[in-house]
Amino acid sequence: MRVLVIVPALNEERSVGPLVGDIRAEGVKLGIDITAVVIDDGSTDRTAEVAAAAGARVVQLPKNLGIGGAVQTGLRLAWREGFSCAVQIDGDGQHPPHELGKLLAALGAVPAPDLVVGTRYGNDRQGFQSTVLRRIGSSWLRWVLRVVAGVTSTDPTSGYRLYGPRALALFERTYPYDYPEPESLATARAAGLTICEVPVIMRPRLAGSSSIRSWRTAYYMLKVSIAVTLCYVRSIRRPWPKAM
Amino acid sequence: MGFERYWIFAACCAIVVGLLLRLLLRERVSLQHSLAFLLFMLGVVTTAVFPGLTSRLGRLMGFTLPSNFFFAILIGVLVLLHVGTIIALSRLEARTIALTQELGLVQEQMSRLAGGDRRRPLQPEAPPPGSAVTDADKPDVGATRAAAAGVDGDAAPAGASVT
Repeated sequence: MRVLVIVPALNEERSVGPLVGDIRAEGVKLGIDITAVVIDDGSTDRTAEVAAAAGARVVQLPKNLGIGGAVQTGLRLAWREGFSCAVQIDGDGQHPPHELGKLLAALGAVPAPDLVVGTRYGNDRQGFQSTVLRRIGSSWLRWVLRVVAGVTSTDPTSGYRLYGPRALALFERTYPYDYPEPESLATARAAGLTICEVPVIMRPRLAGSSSIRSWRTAYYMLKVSIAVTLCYVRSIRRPWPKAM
Repeated sequence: MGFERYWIFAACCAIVVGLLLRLLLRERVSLQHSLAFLLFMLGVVTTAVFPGLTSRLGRLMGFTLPSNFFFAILIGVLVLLHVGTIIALSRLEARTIALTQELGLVQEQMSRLAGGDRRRPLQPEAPPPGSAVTDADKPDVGATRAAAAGVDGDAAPAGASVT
């Protein structure tokens, strides 16, 4: 099994080095061929050099595309180079690589799920649980996804994900650019992909700051809600092909 | 109502058309994307030069005041032009993102092929080419595509929460 770990990073020189080291160590521990690729999304600091020095492959985007464009770059790489699956781990250090095994273990189910989402709101609720405001926003998104798209997700904003071959085939072609996590769940559901959640422990970010703050929160909620609705309407009018 | 009452209006439109033509001559804007606006402005100039035509058309379409007709048409055409711009901008954004991604991926591949170091990002002073491409470097897309086609995604996996 060849696994590509995609690390989208923007000015994360302080956290990306240890993260890549942890990912490679986890690959050795699990006995799996894990390749870490850092998608440097137009960083102005030494993110690319630090990542390369830590042993990651580095794709440097000449201009900042945002999280969706960066993640899709990694997904395209995984699809083209024939990786068995890809795992997205944010470059800010919120997603501990030692939880990778839990996501990969979910692939052992028969049949294997297409998209495995690491949720911080599992049964035991350990680790970083996000702020109250974000949890309210997350509740709203959960409701929109459940009612509109028929997706039951406890953590729709989680970026700790594993993409199976069918998810790679889908998202290599189309992936939301702006605040992609909840919308991509709706897209996956519309395409007939199975989505599986696995409880994971997350950490507060090691460095950097979130892209969603202050007035952007309102825009985020509105944009994602409309996007999920449009995704549902689109799937009714022009259903996704079931087999890709 | 004659042209003498609207000459300022026509002059303003003519100035805008002139500016646009100047931008076209300097290749700052493309004819493809400015042609619709140019025609629109010429239409507005025509209504200023022949105000009687606007009045007659307005009455034919049920407008009591020619100005109401004029502004309704103006707003309608501007909305259409703006929607056209949104469509063009969205297409452009999608293309830019795809090209940027391709550029990043190709650069990474070139860097690996040129330097022989898989982890090294592309530097401005690229090392001389010459490294051989091994079979291990070639993508095995077929295997993944076959696997993708073979997975039935509608059944739920056991042992995990599934939506």
